[in-house]
Amino acid sequence: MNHSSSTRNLIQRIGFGALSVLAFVTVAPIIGTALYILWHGGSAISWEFLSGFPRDGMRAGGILPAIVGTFYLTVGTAIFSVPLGIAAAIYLSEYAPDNRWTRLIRIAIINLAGIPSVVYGLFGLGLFVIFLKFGTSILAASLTLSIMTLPVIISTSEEALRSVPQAFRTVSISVGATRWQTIRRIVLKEALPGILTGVILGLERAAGETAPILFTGAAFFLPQLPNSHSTRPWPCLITFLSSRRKYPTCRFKFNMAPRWCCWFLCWE
Amino acid sequence: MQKPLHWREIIITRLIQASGYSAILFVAAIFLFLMREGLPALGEVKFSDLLAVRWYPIEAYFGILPLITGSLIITIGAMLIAFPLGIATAVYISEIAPRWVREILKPLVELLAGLPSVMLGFLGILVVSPFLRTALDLPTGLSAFAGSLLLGGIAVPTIVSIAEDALDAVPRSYREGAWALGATKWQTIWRVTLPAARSGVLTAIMLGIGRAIGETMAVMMVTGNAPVLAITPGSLFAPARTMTATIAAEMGEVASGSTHYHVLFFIGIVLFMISLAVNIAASSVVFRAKKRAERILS
Amino acid sequence: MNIRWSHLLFVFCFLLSACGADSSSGSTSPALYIENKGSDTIVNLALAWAERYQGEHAEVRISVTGGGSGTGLAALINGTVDIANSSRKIKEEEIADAQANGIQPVEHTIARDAIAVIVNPENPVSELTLQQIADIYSGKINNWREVGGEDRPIVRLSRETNSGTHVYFLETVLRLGSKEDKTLFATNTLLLPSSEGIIAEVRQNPNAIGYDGLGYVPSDVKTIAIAKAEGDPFVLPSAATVDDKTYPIARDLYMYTAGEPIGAIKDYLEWILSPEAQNIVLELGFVPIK
Repeated sequence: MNHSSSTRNLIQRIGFGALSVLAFVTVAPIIGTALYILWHGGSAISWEFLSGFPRDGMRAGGILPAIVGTFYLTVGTAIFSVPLGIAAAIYLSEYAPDNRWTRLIRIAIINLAGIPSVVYGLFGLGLFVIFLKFGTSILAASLTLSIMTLPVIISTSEEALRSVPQAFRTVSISVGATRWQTIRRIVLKEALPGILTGVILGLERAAGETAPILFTGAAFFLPQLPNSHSTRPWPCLITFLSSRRKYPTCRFKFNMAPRWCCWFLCWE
Repeated sequence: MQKPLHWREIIITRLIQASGYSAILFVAAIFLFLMREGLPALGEVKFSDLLAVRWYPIEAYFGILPLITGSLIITIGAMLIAFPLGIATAVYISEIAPRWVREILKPLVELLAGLPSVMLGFLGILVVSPFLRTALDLPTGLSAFAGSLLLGGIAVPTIVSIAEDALDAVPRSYREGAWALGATKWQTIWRVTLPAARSGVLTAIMLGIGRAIGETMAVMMVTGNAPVLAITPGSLFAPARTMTATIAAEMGEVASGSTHYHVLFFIGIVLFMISLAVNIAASSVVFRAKKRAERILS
Repeated sequence: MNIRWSHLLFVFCFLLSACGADSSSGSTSPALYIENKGSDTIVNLALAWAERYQGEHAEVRISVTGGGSGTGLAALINGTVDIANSSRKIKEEEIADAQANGIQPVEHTIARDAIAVIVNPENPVSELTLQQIADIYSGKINNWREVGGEDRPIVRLSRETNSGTHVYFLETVLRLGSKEDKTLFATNTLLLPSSEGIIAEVRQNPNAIGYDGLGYVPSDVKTIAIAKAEGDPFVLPSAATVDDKTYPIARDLYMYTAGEPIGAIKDYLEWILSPEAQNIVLELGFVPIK
């Protein structure tokens, strides 16, 4: 018994050791990546870099148009996807009966989440750019990204809504509030932090995506801030990176770094 | 404002209901538009030509087989990497790690999920591919394997968070029962906890596959994009071209309505079908086990 | 709660309009907008031109996008750009497509370009004939030993198929200018989405061979001297060798407009042919037209 228990302990120690090593193998490249980016990109960040316009064929200057482009795109995405996503979450958590249709909605949401981003790009091209004749524009790109971010917003918001205790609703209804009043005044208020997390997660994903906006909204270079909001293509930070050309200096290659820092702040 | 207006309540309820059903509408719309633009390809290119092994669209060679095999081999490679790492990390985080290690590891894994894939692609070009070429003595590091490594990295956070949820959901009484019978912690994990969470683990893998096969930018940057039929294990270390990279690289070029345009949408249909199959398979497991997987789907 | 939500919305709208107001008040008359898209070979040049031109004409805005010659021409056919940049001549089918949409493409030659064939500096091979390059890219030659180099596999790098450079290279080098020749790139040719990708790979991989516009080739890769045929002199690409036609892989670069250009577009295209603009061509490593 003694012998076997020491063997078992040995196996356990080996097993735990192996798991720790594997976990470390997973995490080490992440740390390495983060350090690499900070190391190479950190030095490029300056106020001028963030607030300037590109000069000399984007070999120098700043990335302001790209930041503004990304900002508009994110706001545009939020305008479409946040109300719709939250409403859908309210439906699923407060109204939806447990029947076949509701299950179908859930399957649809899971599938929306799983559709490759490049397929969203194709869809956006087919529907918004060509069929509805929006052209490649911030509008078409925002709409495409909105649909892509919906599942994230819906599922996170729904979870937040569901975590509001049932008693809150019962009390509100019993003092004479209607269902909608209960939801708006009580449930939404309680669930707000969770919903905001979902919104941030979803928009963050939208801002970091490249493939769906390749065909629907990305311009490459615009020396000034564009002024017709929804009809002209906009440069997006992310397409700076993926654009198909060389950058003579290494500096621009890591222009994602400021952005990455912003995300890091989001997590904190 | 205080007084409930009946019609208002009804309108709002209807609007909310419509929003709920919009998800179905969107999936249907995506399917419809892919079909609308993609199905004409079958009329313009013979089906046997679509299944040919040469992809060179500017001379009307539309064989999509190399692209499908390219996507598959890179995804399989990615899973070989991400599956053991992801599950091991999930087990480590949920069962073994002390609290403070856990607090560090979880945000780190989420950090990886938040990195845009374009940036991973750049690292792939600058670091991973030169390293692979010298370390494995390959003609070039821009290969399916480089793609698999990056995709593995992209799929790991998905797998870790879903698998961890599944492990967390295993009732504590299972573990206590095993310990009471004299099992070590390791035996409990291996023989009780993991098997009990297997449906969640399966979901994690399915969704990891979905994530990997749909990834575009990183893959386009590191796999070399050579449309070679990838059917031998050795193809993993040769350049390959995926369906997603093909769409992303070529869609901008084509005039709408041309054969090439329709074929690219046809590839989109294939991708859509694969993701549909993977997700329905994964979600049917989820529903049975009522896991919180949806939240991490992103 | 109600109030907070509307506040949030209000802030959004305010930000949006504030940014809009900012940008429109920034310039005097933002009415003239030229949309310029296409060849990645030309994109740097087009950017430099756009920047200089806008410096002198504050009322004009030029948006420049890359994506490849095919991309630009497709956009011209679809009517979404004003000027399409192309590093190859427009194809018959493309003209037909454009006419079907009621657009008559008009060609403007704007500069010339040499295509440099590049290898890693460690590679001892520094001279190749056109035929040898064709055989390498079509897959007949697979080892550097066969062209006088070390015993290493050849890794072929090319731009994506939507690149005008790709098409030009196929027609001029692989098929040696013959229309009947149906030679294709070897299937295992790496198709990289950017010039940068090609140069990054050539820089670090001694097995690699690649090609790119001369203006894009940095000094830390080796440019191959090329002979038209066996026995001809080997020539390095430069403005001089392109001009006297001794370097065999050089081509014109084009801009296409929908119909004869008018207004701001006409002024811009005329300016491009001016000595000032053509000087920029030279600075960026391309060959000016006279």
